[in-house]
Formats: sequence, C-alpha cells, structure tokens
Amino acid sequence: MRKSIVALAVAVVMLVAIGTNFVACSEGGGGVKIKLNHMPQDDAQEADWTLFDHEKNSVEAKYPDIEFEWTRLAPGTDYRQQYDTLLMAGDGPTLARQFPYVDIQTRMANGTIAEITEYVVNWDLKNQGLVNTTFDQAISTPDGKWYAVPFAPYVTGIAYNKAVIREAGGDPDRLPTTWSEFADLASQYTDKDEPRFGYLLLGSDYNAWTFTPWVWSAGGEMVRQNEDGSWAIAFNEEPGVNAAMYMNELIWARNATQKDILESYDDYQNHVKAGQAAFGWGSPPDFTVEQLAKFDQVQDDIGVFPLPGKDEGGAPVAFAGGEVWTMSPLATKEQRDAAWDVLTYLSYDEEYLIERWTLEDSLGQLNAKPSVRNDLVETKYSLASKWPAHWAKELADAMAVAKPEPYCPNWNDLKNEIVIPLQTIYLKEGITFDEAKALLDACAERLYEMYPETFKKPV
Amino acid sequence: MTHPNAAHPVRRKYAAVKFSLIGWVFLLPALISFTLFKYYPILLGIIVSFFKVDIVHMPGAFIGLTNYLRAFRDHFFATAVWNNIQFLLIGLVMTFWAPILLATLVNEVRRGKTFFRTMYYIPAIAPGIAMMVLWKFIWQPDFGLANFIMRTLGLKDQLWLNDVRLVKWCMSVPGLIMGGGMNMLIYLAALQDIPEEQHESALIDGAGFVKRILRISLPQILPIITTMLILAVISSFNAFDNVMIMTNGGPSGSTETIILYSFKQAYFGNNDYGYALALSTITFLIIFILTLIQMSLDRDWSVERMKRDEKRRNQALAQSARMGGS
Repeated sequence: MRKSIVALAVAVVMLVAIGTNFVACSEGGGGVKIKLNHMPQDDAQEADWTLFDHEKNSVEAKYPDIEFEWTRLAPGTDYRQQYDTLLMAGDGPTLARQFPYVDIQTRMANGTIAEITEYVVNWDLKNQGLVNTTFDQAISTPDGKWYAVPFAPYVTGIAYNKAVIREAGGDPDRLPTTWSEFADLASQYTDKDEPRFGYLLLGSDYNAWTFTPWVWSAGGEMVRQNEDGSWAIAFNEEPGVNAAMYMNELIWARNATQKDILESYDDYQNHVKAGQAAFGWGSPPDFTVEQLAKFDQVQDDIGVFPLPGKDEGGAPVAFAGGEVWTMSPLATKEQRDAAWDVLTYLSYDEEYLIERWTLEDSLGQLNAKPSVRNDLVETKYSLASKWPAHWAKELADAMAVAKPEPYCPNWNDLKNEIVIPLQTIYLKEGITFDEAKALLDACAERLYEMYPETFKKPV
Repeated sequence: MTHPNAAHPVRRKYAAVKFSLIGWVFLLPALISFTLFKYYPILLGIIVSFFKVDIVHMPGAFIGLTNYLRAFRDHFFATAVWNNIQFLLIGLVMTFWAPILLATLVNEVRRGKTFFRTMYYIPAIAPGIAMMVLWKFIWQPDFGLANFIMRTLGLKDQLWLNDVRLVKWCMSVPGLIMGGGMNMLIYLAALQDIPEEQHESALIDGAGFVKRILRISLPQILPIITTMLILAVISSFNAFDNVMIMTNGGPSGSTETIILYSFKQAYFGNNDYGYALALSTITFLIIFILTLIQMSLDRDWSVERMKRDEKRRNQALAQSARMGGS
C-alpha cells in the first residue's frame, strides 16, 4: 500500500512540475517585448538567412530597449490559419506582414487586427505624401480609421519563359496582346509529351485570383460598389462569362493548357519555374536566381507582360496586389508603440532600406516590387545591378495597366465560392455560354443570400 | 473450521484495494492524457459550436442552435454529407471485400503463405502521403500513366481525378493498395484461428471450397468483418488527408467531405470556427448513430446465430440418441 501511495505521489509531483515548467517558460523578462514571425524556415535558402540576420541585427541595434522574440510560422499550412490559431492561443505575433491588403476589410470587421489610426494620422512621411497610397481605401474606413500600412505591393501578369518559347520553335519577342493571339501562340507551344504547355492554368482553390484579371481583360469587373457602399456582384455579366468560356476554349478547343485543374498553387509555381510553361501566372519578383537554378532556369529567360485583352471590347491589363503590416489586437499600448517604430524602420527608413537593397542585390535577391516609399522607387531600381535588362521596361509596362485586386468585405468568401462554378465551366467540354452564365448567376445569388450586409443587387 | 492460512476478511479487502490502486496508478497517465487531449477538446468543441466565435475574446457570443440550423440549410454541407456516403459505398464496393477475398485465398495456399502475406503487406508500410502524391501523378490527365495505358490500349483519354463521375473511384484505388494489405492480415489472422478440424470434417462430408468458405470461414470471422465495417464507416466519414492531398475537395466540390468542408469554414473563409465545430459535431453524431446501429445489428445476428447453433446441436444430439437406442 505504501509503495502505491508513493507511486501516486511521484506521479502527482511530476505533473505539477511539468505544469510549473510550462508557466516558467511562458514568463518573459522585463521591458517591452514584441514578437515577430519573420524567421525563415530551416530549409530556406542561404540568402534568406543572410537577409534575416541582417534585418535582425539592424533592428536590434537600432532599438536596444525593445526585447525581440523572433519566430516563424510553422511550414506547410496556410498562413491565415496559423495566425488565427496563434492569436486564439494568445501567442500571435505583435507585428505581422503576411496579409494581402484585400484581407483587411474582413479582419478589421472580425477584430483580428488592431486599429492603428493614432500612428498613421500622425505619421510625418504619410502627411508629406511619401507613402504608397495604392491600398489606402482597402486598409482604412470611410470615417478615417486605419488598420494597416503598406509592406510589399506587387504587379503580376503573364510571366513568360524565353527558353521554353524558343524550344517550341517560337519567337520570344513576339508577345500576344489579344486573346486570339494568345490562344494561337499557347496552342502552338503546347506539347504534352514533353510535357510543355503554352499556358499553365491555375484552376484550383486559387482560381478566382487569376480569373479576376481575365474578367478585367474582357472589359468587366468581379464586383462593383453600389452608391450605398455595398457591393454588387459583376462576374456573372457578359465579360465574366466570356472570360470563363475563354479558359474552357484554351483547355478543349485550343489544347493550349493542361486539363488538370486540381494542381495546388505550390505545384503550379514549381511547374512554371521548372520551364513547363511558355506562359504562366507570375511576375519577375517570383523568380529569384536560386529558385530558378533548382530547375536549371535563368532570370534572363524570364519576363512579364500584361494579360492580353479580349479582341473586341477588351484591353490588356495587369494585376496589382500586395501585403501590408498589421498589429495584434492583443498588443499593449507599449507593444504597439514599439511595433510602430520597428515597422517604420524596416519599411520606410531610407538608410536601412538602401543598405538592405544593396545586400539583396549582392545576393541576387533584389525583388522587383516597388518601394513603399514613393521617393525611393527609382533608388531601389537603380541599385539593381543583376536584373535582366528587359525587366524594368516590362514591369513599367505592366504597372501602367495594372488594376488593384478588389478589396470588399467577404472578398475571400467570394473567391472561395466561385471556385466550384469555374471548375465546372473549365472542365465541361462543349459547355455553352448560357450554361456557363447560369452557373455564375447561381453563384452570385448564393453570395447575395449568404452575405446580405456586403453584397446587394444594384437598384 | 477455517483453514489457518485463509486470509482474514479485512486483509482480503486490503489486498483487493491494493491491487485496484496499483491498477489505477498504471492507468493514470493514459487517463490523464485521454482526458486532456481527447475528451476535453471534444467537449470544448461541442460547447464552442453553440457560439459565434471571436478568436480574440474566446469563445464569443452564445447563439444557441444557430450554427446547427444553418448546417441544415447549407446545400454545400448536404453535398459534403452525400459525398461522404458515396465514398463509403464506393469503398465497400472497391476496397472492403477485396482483403476478405485475398485473405481467404492466401489462407488456402499450402506453400509460400509468408511470401504472399509479405507481398500484399509491403504497400501498407510505404508512407501514405507519398503514395497519394504518386497516385495523383498516375491519374494526371495530360501526361499521367493511366492515360498512357489507355492510349496504348487504343482507348480514349480520361480526366480521372478531374472528372466528377470518376474521381471518387480513382481515389479509392490507392486506399485498396495501401490499406488492403493490413486488412488482409487481420482477416487472415482470424481465418487461421478457425480450428482445422472443422474444415477437415467438412471435406470428409463432401463440402467444396465455396461451401466451406460460406458455411465455415465467413460465419466465424463475421465479428471481425463487423468491426472492420464499423472502422470503414468511421474512416469514411472522417476522410480528410487523402482528399486534401489528391483533390482538395475538387473538381467542382465533388470530393468535398464533411471534415474538409468544416476545415475550410474555419480557415479559408471568414474564420467561422463555431460553424465548423457544429459541422464536426454533426459528423460525430452521424458516426455514433451508425456505429450503434451496426453494433445492434451485429448483436442481433450473434444471438440469432447462437440460437441456430444450439438448435442444430440439440437436433444432432437427439439424432445420435435415437441411433444409439435403435
């Protein structure tokens, strides 16, 4: 009996000890502590680690009074999911820079990011007009509340691979500007035995992302704002249906793209980088030297051009998107003050930015995303000593016709909802315009029903 | 007179308590783990399903049965339930009976039983995720192996995983190859437990192969088959990882299962955790009810079988008594 009691006591003591240990680990030191999840994954490229170390050392030296906790999001799962899970556990990053600006309206409504109005309205750089304003409407409210700050705007169009085009017997300098030219060339470049595709279609859960600029290129919109501030669904109008039918034509009538619409976005990107496509969704910033080297590809062969316009009633167009800085709603006032100092230093301090870009350039990692400091856009590009010569002009051409991604509340819900009708349209050989329109109409009706606060039929 | 070595009642009670206490001490870690990591999350999940979750101020606002009522109006959820049922039925047609047949055949093999057992089991050792990714490439409609074989045979290319009519059938094939070996071993072990004399008696009585299987082998392994059926139902309604990897619910939502749909509600839409948990709770209830029905049917069959066996035994005894009397 005594032995049993001793065993039981030992078990209880061990459990208490484990519990105490958990508590001890969660207690931090003194001072303002902020948590950032910028640390690269273990298998990241060496250049990513060099850049991280530079960032870490610079910001820690600049703000010795702030205690930094550097973490990373677990690999392999969606970053939104991970952010929410950490937030739920009270362990989210104080400062995050992973959300696309289109998420902000939804997140400001559900309270998963902090309001940072007091910092933005008193920000000298902003008041001097030196901060990128592309996302302003999407990251603030009409009554002047702010929830985010630009981090990394980008422009995306059709990325092309000169080597693949040459291999397919084409001329890399002849880039399509209309839907019919695009279909002709993509069809000509496709050889499924290689396998090589004229155009790699992104048909999986992310298909609304690439479908959006195709709708624009047909002269249409995905959503349109009503006078009362609500939003009307527009993807089921004629240009939207035409865009969906055009994808169907590329698959079935033109044999210009793949029939596999289930490919994940990671697989898709790898196939484009591996030279399996003459044309794909992307932009030079997505193609770093190291990433391409894994597939025996080189930056010189990569370029970008706007999506071609529909032959009648359309125009070439590119897609502008980007990520923003946000703060945790759980952060204290002191933590927010510290986080504000850090974000303005990392994205808006001229001296730091030039040092960082110089390092990126030396590593072949300088991305082609424009600086969020309006007065430093040219400075950044002037530091690019390793970019292929054609990039600057191509990016400027794309930027000139770029439209920002819609940002209405429930935009992500809309994108999720449209996946099914688009996949149905893409995969049904011989589908008619009316059948496709009926599918998109039904999807629009569902959205009006599910999100009546956001989506309202125009009066 | 009491035996001098017999234990005193108090001492016996003490010994029983001591024995029971030691048992509890050994059980304690597992009990704590299960309570903390299984039952507590389940209970918490059920509670949270009655809330509109606010992840910053958990659990958020209590909304009663709203999430459950919403589920019954949600046509995507209805589609997901129907998809799960289809997965179950297709699984029964494609994969459930095959290991039974295989085990029965292997059991009949006189030489090289170990070889066949090993060969069928090896795919079960391979990492499941890698196998599913491999099969995804096999079913690739543009340059996959499946269409290469179709073309070689002069047949028309198919969309396979991209075809809403074929996708569930295609997805069950890796399951057959990966899980079939393991299930076959379980059935084989049960078959080998059947006394050899029964088969020998049946052979002497002139029973053929099919008759022996139907009258001796299958009835005796029926409890195992029932258990495996319950596991198949549970596994089918919990389908997630294979769907996530091979199709992510596509094409056109034709492989969206309840759990995948629930997962997407939580993480890919508007962080609707309460609704996602309501869907999971409904799935839990569906599985629970189906399992109860199956277990009840199995109990009825067992009682029926026992009665039948007893009746036969009595008839045989009566017959032998009559023969002895004459």
